[in-house]
Amino acid sequence: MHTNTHLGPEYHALTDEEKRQHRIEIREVVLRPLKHTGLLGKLWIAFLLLVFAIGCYAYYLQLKNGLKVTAMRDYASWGLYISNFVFFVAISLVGALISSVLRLTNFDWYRPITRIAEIIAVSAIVFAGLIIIVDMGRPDRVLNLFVHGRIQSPIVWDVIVVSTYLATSLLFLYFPLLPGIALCRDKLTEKPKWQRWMYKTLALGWNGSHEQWKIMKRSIGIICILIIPLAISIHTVTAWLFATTLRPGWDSTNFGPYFVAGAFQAGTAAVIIAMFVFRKAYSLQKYLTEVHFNQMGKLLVFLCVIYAYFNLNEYLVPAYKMRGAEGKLLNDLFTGHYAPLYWSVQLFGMALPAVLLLWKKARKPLPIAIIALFVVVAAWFKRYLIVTPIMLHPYTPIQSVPANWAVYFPSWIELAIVSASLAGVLLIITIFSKLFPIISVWETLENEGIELEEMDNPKEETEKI
Amino acid sequence: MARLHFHIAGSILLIALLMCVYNASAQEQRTATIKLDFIKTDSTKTCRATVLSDSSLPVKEKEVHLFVKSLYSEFEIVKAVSTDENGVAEFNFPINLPSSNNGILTLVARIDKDETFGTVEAQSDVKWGAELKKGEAEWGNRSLSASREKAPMFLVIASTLIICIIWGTIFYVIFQLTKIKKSGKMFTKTQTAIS
Repeated sequence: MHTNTHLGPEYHALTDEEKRQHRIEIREVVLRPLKHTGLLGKLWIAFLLLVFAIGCYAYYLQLKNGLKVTAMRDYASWGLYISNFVFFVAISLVGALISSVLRLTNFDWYRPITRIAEIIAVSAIVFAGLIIIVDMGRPDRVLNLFVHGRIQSPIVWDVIVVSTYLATSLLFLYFPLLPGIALCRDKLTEKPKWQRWMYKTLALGWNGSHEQWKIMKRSIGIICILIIPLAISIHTVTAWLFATTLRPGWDSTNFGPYFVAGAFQAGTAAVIIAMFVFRKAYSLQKYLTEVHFNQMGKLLVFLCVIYAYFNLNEYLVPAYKMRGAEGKLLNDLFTGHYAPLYWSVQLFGMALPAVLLLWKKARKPLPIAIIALFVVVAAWFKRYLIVTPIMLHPYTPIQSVPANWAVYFPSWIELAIVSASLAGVLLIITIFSKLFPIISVWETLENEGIELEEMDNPKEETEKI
Repeated sequence: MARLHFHIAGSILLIALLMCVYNASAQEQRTATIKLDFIKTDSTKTCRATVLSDSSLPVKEKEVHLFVKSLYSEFEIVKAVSTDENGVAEFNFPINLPSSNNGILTLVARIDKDETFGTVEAQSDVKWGAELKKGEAEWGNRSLSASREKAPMFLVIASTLIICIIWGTIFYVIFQLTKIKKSGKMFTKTQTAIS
């Protein structure tokens, strides 16, 4: 997998002028989507805004009438919101995987897709935090978590780690973006005043000096190391929210790595879909090549196999014993009410992708994007299966409650709010890609042997103020 | 005239009948007492409830419930037992019932809303409770289940250390942004880095 994806060895032999031309060309390509938005793009943004607005209205109703407008009751007190939260946290881990793990292990091919991974991570973690507030019912009490929170509580650990991961992910997105923002500042001079002001402010006076490159690269190196334990922590702590609760199906020492493995798999699939869409929509075929899809396909196979291993541990071991409440839960998953969903998730989200992607033809852009879509959808339902059936199979039997409390199906309010959160994530990614280059020029060029650090460096005789 | 006599006699009879019914019902609501004895033989503990009527006769076939008192309520610790012909109901006492009061348990035996005797109950203390381990009994010590001020010291130190190291690094990295900005100001505005 350690493959160099240079566009061609001829770049090493390029003259300075040819390198300069190539640099101009890639900058033109990445700035093109920022210059205008087509009808399809506008319709897409309008659709996302509409879904988001409906979700906001549903949330207004929830605030007004309380959590009774949801289908959550005493037994299923965690429902769609929490499964959606776990899904977003899972997706957000991909920023660390693509940008940090691959960087530190000296892989090169990942470079053009780092920014896609990072913006997915940031947008997912933002909405992970928001959906938890939605689940709380009383947003005015959020501050109480900090003021009155007990450090012994896994919920407080989660609050700390989510906010820390968000801060680190934002920095991880921002630092490598600095040359890109400076490019926008210098080239997109016809943009509205607020946008030019934004570029100027965010660029921090970037001029590509050796000192700035040095500070930037050193900072990225620090974040790279920092973000790996943070990424593992965020999903491990999320897993502990469940594993420290005495419930059949959650009472497992396997839960931390099981969640982390699933997160890497889901996040990688999400990046593949984003790569496919941006490649098509922004005509980035030259930079998001079939080589990238091929490598991401291999990575996805590896992650599917790892995740399958953890699933085997998580389900087979208790199924061998079929003890008490756990046995009832597993029967419900294997052959009962949740069986169609459970087996679909295992088959389409793990087994089939792992097998199909072994063929190189399946790792071409379109087939792999379709497979990745199945993986992401299955990953969402997988989180639903981790949360809901278990809430409905407590160790103490459900007694003396209305019959409808023993079942859970989300209300339209929950569905609308969750749809809005998904739309919100896509909206952040879309708007970001309309304001900033979605491909990191300097990292892509570095992969091709062109050092922007050298080419962009201001002349020695630069007048200092 | 004879008819009037008949009415008077009938009324007197009716009043007498009502008084008999009243007296009879008053007599039916009798009282009873429960006496609790605790018998320990080798490894078994038995709680014996003897139910006697107000005339000191054994009360047969009455269901007796046995509870242990907790801070706010009572817990029924074994299934209810009916009294035998001697008015005795015997309960096998659970050997592992915890007590936070030096092993002393307050037991309550009760006959609930009986037709003849109403509710009858007796209460007695016995030192049969399993004493709690020291750590569990000392409520208010530092533990995972304590309040935020009583968090275990290792957790407070470890979490503070981790948070300080990570956020310290984050602030250091944020500080690097100010250095980048400062470096950018060193050059003239006419110098554009990006050609």
